[in-house]
Amino acid sequence: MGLTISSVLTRLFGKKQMRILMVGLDAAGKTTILYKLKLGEVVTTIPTIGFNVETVEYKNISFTVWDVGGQNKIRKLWRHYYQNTDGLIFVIDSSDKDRFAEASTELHNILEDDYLKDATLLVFANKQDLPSAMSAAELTDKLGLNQLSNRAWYIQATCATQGNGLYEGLDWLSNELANK
Amino acid sequence: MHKRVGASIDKSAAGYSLHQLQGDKHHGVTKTGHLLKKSEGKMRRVWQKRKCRVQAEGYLDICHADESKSPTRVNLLTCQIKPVPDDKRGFDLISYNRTYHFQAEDEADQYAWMSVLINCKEMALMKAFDDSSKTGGDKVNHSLIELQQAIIRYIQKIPGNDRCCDCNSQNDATWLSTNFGIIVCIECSGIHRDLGVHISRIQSLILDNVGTSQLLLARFMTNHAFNDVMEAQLNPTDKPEPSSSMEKRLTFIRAKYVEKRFAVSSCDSNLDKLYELEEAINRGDLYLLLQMWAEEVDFSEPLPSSKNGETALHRAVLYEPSRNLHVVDFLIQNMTNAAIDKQTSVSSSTEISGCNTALHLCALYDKVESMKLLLRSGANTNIRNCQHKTPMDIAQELGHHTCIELVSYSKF
Repeated sequence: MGLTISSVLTRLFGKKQMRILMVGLDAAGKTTILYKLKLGEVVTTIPTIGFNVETVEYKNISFTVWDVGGQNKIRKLWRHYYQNTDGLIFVIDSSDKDRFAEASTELHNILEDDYLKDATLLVFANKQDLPSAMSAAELTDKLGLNQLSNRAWYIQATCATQGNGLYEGLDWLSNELANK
Repeated sequence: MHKRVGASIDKSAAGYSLHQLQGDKHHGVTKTGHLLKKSEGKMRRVWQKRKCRVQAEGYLDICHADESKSPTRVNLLTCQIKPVPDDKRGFDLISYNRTYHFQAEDEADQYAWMSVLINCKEMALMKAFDDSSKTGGDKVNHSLIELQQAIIRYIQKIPGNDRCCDCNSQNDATWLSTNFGIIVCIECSGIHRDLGVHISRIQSLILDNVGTSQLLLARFMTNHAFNDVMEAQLNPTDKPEPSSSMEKRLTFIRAKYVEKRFAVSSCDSNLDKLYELEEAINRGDLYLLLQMWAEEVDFSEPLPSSKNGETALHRAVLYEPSRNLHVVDFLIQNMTNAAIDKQTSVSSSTEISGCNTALHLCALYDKVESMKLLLRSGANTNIRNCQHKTPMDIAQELGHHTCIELVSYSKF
């Protein structure tokens, strides 16, 4: 009844689904990224006590993005959200030099988890607009990304408030998914 | 009649709500009844009536058509509950592996189910926070945690610190700006975070593990004294209120912290400011220091009476530990890294050496606490002074063992 051919096809074969878990230290910009992708606009945010979930359609892929709060005590709950994750987005505030070491420790902790052994890793080097933001190349080093073995990973410089870099990151993720 | 607390529920249907969805607490955390659940098939999706049960432990059980089979159990801790924009009876439950579409009997029933699910999820979340802080899993030092908690309680009891420094809200005023040592509410904390860590660095007194060094400034600053300086010439009607919009908060907080528009200007010239700055350091006067910061004094300039190009930071470090560590902390947290690494001038005959950074002075005079603060803020450990020595070289020569440990640990 009133179904177009393409929607019938989509129903038959289904749109590609990708479950994305987005984590990172508090105030890295995770919620801002989520709603910039979902709504195309910059929303004012407060610390996320819990998590947000939104579905973002891009290039015929339906990304379900989970944005989990980054405060120290919430980080201990991240593992509850690992199951069934296709892609992990780790967001870092590129201007917060004092906490690169802490961010790196958290990232490597996550990657050790068995549930995430097949998840591809996308790092968003966010807040590139701020003074003294570190470049993606420098952060690759600080986060020890080159030491990762058996892991597809990519780092993308972003500025969520201007939308820069976000879709380039999703492009990479969708290519990875297609190759799986 | 049911109340429509759902202002946030309605908004979130459109996409974004500032706060997490809140349920009507009157509905509690348990409920049993029937819901229509949309089947998962690809071609023919039908509504099936299923018995459902929300349990206080944080689970939703969805029975099968054959109710004697064991039900599907969904962990609410990892579920999001969402209203459906154009269906007042419907709501979605997004779990880690699928989205359940539900329909209740009527609008009131939908409201009750959503409230119970949200309440129950919130309870599961709070319980998980509790458990995680109890077990921790890390090798935590319990006496250190007790000390942190004692300091936090002390800070929260300071008059004026029970409310937000920016809007006076008493609701969730548990967010600390560590570089100013003031307490704000969760909404104003959102604006502080927006400005970036080079302006304000926010940590939660409850949800973060705030170290004793991050609490240092807050013990001395107080919201009241901070505002005496930073809101000295503010027209009280221009201050945001607990109910103010995020836009109003943003305008105000930017004016207060970035433009320092509400502080008075007490000095006529840069030299005057530097004299006052020197006075603040010599006296260990945090509020005078804040006043000079508000007047945009340049922390990297040599102090007027100094003959060797000594900055406020060099001087303050030398005074440690006499009651002034919070002055050192304020300087370090509110100056650029280039200023932190500034060197004194080339040595004159009377001095041991010249071209010292503040970190060199710490190594030279065994100023352990200042050294910790400098290293935390990323002071450069590789700079060499006139005698071609790094802080590490000096600490080793003089046998300042704690300094040696601190510098070598910071390299990792």
